[in-house]
Amino acid sequence: MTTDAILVATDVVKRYGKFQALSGVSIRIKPNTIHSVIGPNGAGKTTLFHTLTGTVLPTSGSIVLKGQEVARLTDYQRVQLGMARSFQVTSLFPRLTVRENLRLAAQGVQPGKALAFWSKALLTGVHDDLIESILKRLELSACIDKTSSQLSHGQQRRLEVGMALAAQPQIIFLDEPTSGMGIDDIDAMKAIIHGLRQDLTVVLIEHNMGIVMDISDTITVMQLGTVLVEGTPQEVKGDARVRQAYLGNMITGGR
Amino acid sequence: MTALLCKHKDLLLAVLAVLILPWMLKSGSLASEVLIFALAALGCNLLLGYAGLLSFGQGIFFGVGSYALGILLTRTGMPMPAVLLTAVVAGAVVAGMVGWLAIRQKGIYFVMLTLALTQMFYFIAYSTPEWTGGDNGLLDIPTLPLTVFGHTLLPNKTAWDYYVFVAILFLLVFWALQRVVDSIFGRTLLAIRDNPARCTALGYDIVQFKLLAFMVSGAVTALAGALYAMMTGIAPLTSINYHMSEVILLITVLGGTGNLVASVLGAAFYVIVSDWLSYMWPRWLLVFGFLLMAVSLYLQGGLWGACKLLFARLRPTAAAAQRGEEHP
Repeated sequence: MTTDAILVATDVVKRYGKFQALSGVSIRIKPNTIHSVIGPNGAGKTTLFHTLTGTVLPTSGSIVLKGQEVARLTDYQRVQLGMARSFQVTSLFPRLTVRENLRLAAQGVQPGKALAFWSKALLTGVHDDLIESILKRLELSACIDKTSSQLSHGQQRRLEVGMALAAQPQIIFLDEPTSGMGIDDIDAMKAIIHGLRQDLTVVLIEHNMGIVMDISDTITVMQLGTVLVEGTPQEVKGDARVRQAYLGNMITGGR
Repeated sequence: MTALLCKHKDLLLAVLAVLILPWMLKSGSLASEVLIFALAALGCNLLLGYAGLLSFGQGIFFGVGSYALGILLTRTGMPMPAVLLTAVVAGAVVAGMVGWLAIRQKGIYFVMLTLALTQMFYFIAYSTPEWTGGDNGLLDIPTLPLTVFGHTLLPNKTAWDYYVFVAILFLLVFWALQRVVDSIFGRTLLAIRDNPARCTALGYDIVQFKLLAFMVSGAVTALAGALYAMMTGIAPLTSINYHMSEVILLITVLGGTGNLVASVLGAAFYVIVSDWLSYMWPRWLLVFGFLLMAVSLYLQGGLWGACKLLFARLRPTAAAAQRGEEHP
């Protein structure tokens, strides 16, 4: 059964000095699913994301992406293997247009070409089809020539997801894509994430339980740097440990 | 036609500067000095304005260019263009080594590393007098004419002859650097300056990009150093000391970062005003201390930023139209 997972992490440990943020987390992510990671603040969700995507290197443990060990590779090396991420705090290029933001993101999988200091910057032309299809998916087509700082918060959050999509990854890590969003924007984002499942694998950190329970195939519940429970939304909802630990009313809706 | 003019307006401004200088200044050496320091500032601007790297190591590259040219012209019979080219390559190689070390750290530690390396190169030059002339500097460097297959293209005999030679090289480098900052590489550098974390997450190895920027910067700065040594006939120890780094940074910041014309403006201002002040008052550097404070406090766009503000006051509509196509 190891062959059907796109990403397998085994016993991932991350220590910051004496503080152990992750103490032996194992997780298996199946292709073309939405796999959510939930847990209270400080459970180690974002640290797990950082180690899986290479933003920080794990202290020990193994991370296998499509059969290849990547635990010691940096984040920019892992991007070349089909991995991309978004950030919890929007991280765009505020002074560049939406088009150029995405062009930079698409160029990231061929970084060698971006070292060409003698070729004219092709501000249009090369990645146009890709950029247009992403903007269409995110309903941002009208904003293509605005700078990213001119977008509303909800639009910026969507572009944040678009930046990860532009690398055309096979597995995408979304760190709280709805943070700070209004109610209408949240529904739009939920539909976008659900739509991604057709083409790629989504790993999601999300605090909005409505979204998590509705669209996830698998949920991993974390607590104090370890995996507490893993299963389908139904299993997680019904699990006594999860209720007892902290979620309780949030998951069951108070019933 | 107008579109073409707009597209190359920065290059046109550089040409304009080259044409105005002889008309403004009586001394050809002073005019050449303006362009030479403009070259050095262009190299610094690429790092500071585009890659966001505050390097105190520019004096190293200037000095390496000076010494490389001095040593080759006094000891070998290499043709002058080949000597200049070697100096440029030496600058790029040394900048590659300095960058390779310094880029590993960010922020204040990066600055400290460039500062430490500047001191190190100064003492290397000081303690190898058989090569560099040590305290006295490398003397009797000839100013050679530019000849191709026995034909003298540029005699480089008088100060104004030499100005023509420097001006041609300056315009070539300006055009090339303008092309570099407008390239995919240049745009990626800007992105790295503004958001390095995102760039890494997108797949860019930002060390590679900063290193390439360093090498281009080192090459241009070494050319400035080489031209300066050939003009003055001497490669003194002051061309590689900490103060040289300081002067290059001062010119770059005074002019304004993120636009190449700004560096030319900064160099013209610094060289001409310091020449004028040094006649009147031996403590003239103090004035630049105050100017740097004024720019840091009130005018972070530098002199170029001030010109743009003035332009916007005078012609609000034209300035608004211009804003759209400006570099972010």
